[in-house]
Amino acid sequence: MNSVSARIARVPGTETRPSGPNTDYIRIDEVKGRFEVDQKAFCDEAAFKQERDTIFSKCWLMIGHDSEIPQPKDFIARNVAGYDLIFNRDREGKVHAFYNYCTHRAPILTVHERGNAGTFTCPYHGWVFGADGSLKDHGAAYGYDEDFNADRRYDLQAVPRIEQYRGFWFINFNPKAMDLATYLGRAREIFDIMVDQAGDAGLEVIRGEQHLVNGGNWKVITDNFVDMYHGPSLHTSYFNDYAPSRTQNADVGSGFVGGSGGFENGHNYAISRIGLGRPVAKWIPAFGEESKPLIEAKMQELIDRFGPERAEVMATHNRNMVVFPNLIITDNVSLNIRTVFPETVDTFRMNIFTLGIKGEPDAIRDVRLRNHLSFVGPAGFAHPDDFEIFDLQRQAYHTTPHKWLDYSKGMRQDKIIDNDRRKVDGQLLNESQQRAWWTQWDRVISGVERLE
Amino acid sequence: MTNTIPRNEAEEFLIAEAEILDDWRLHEWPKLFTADAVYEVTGPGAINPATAKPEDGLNFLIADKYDRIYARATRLMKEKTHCEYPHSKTRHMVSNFRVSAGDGGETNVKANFTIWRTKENKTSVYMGEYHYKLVREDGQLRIKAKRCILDLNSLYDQGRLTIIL
Repeated sequence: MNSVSARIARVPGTETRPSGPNTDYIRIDEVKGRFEVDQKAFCDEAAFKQERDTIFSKCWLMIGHDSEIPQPKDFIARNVAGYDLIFNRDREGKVHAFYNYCTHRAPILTVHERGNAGTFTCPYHGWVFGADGSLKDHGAAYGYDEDFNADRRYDLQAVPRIEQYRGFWFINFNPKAMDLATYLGRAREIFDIMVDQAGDAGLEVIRGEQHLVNGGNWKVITDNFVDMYHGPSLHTSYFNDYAPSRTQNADVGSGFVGGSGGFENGHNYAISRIGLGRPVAKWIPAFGEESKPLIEAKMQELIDRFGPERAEVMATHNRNMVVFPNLIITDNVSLNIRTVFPETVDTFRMNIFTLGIKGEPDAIRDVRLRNHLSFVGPAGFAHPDDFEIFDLQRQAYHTTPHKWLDYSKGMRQDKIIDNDRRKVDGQLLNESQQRAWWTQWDRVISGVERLE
Repeated sequence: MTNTIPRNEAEEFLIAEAEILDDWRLHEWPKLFTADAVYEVTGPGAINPATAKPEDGLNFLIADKYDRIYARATRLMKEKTHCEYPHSKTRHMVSNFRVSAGDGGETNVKANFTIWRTKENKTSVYMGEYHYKLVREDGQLRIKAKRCILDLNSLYDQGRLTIIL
């Protein structure tokens, strides 16, 4: 993919500008301030395969959260990057990620989505595996040598790497991958703000995750969730018709202030101060009087613990973030995490989880969940409009004669650090954050970035 | 028991509601509800969907009180509601009615539903069971609660839920 032709219009004498691109999928014109992505990146089977072999084979991918498997032997069966996996704790409490396939003839081992199990038994020939992955029994009186599993080759196969940051567990299919903390880099700051909101109680994934498959290449999602530019346009019916009465903030348009940008390894963010109520910790009348003292007490707790400045950031700023490549964090009207995967080149699979603080009062939990449903759920007042656009993009990517999709907004206003386009400070309604993500995508797919 | 709404009357009422929805006369739809009504659609991952409560977990796709019932119907009639403009074509099939006495003079109505939705060239189907609580208010039947229990495990075929079930 490496192509000289893709490196166009470099300005003489500006070697300090970021290098790249490394593939034909991206075209950059520093003079005109243009950053463009080829439609093929969204609709070509070749790109789909490259992503499977690079992006989803080398990057850290979130599999779950501590709170989903609190006890020894707890397990969740979950599909990650197309693979059926078991995310569990063994009898000693150690966390694993195993392939959910019998090592004999491969059927999916457990079809239960969650539970507590010391063993997993294949229904086909009765092979039994322990929660630590070891083959315990092959259900046969004869036919196998006693030492047939001496090399452990019939034990459940584990995903090569599993690590966690502050309760969020990630897997990596590359045994040589750099450690998770290094990979996350400054993205850890967003996790810290999210986790610190919960104080000593800690966060939990609230039961009842939502799964969907929708039309559109998976990258329309990573583009969309940090895109604030589309808010006032696409979501008019939410911000102008619905939100004002709910938030007592009729001037939402002027609330689109804040910043966006990126960190090392392509993680990006958009942080805004749109006047929306937050369970932590900005009360609005629409939440009801019952929750007012609880939310005000939460704010005071944050001030006491972290000081007024950091408390203000934690409790009133709204954060959207993509942890490269596919983990989306939205910390605004509720606290959500999503993972998005390509199902086909033209469809994406999304898992939606919402988080709360362990033991929080029912009134707060109620506010949190109703906020989630009103805006970001698959039947909410905003995201279905995005999903309609994704379907329209799916059709168009294949046939538009305007093959270069534009990500140029604000490019010449970017404040780029260390000559690395991924490390960028930009303005909220610009597209700096997407350029950071796409820069990493280009580097990983081309092999320039090995993440080892 | 004498206050229980007869089956044929409940059936006619729900079929009339279905006609309002399929005809996209959504401004009429909130008028079918009492002021303290709820409209709920349980999520595919819901545990015990018949009895789940919105504060118990992410058991719902929709948990509207009256303000949001009204807002939902109003929003869906606007041209800027891109997910449903132009409006999709829908057909609500309602059957298998079961009527029983509920608490405080309410009538519980269960019915099965299949709803077809076509937008552009894609057709999706939503199927499940309705749980209504109906009351008589000023001589008119009104919905005090409408819970739609989806017989789905995910939205893999539908992607989203933008119509009123």
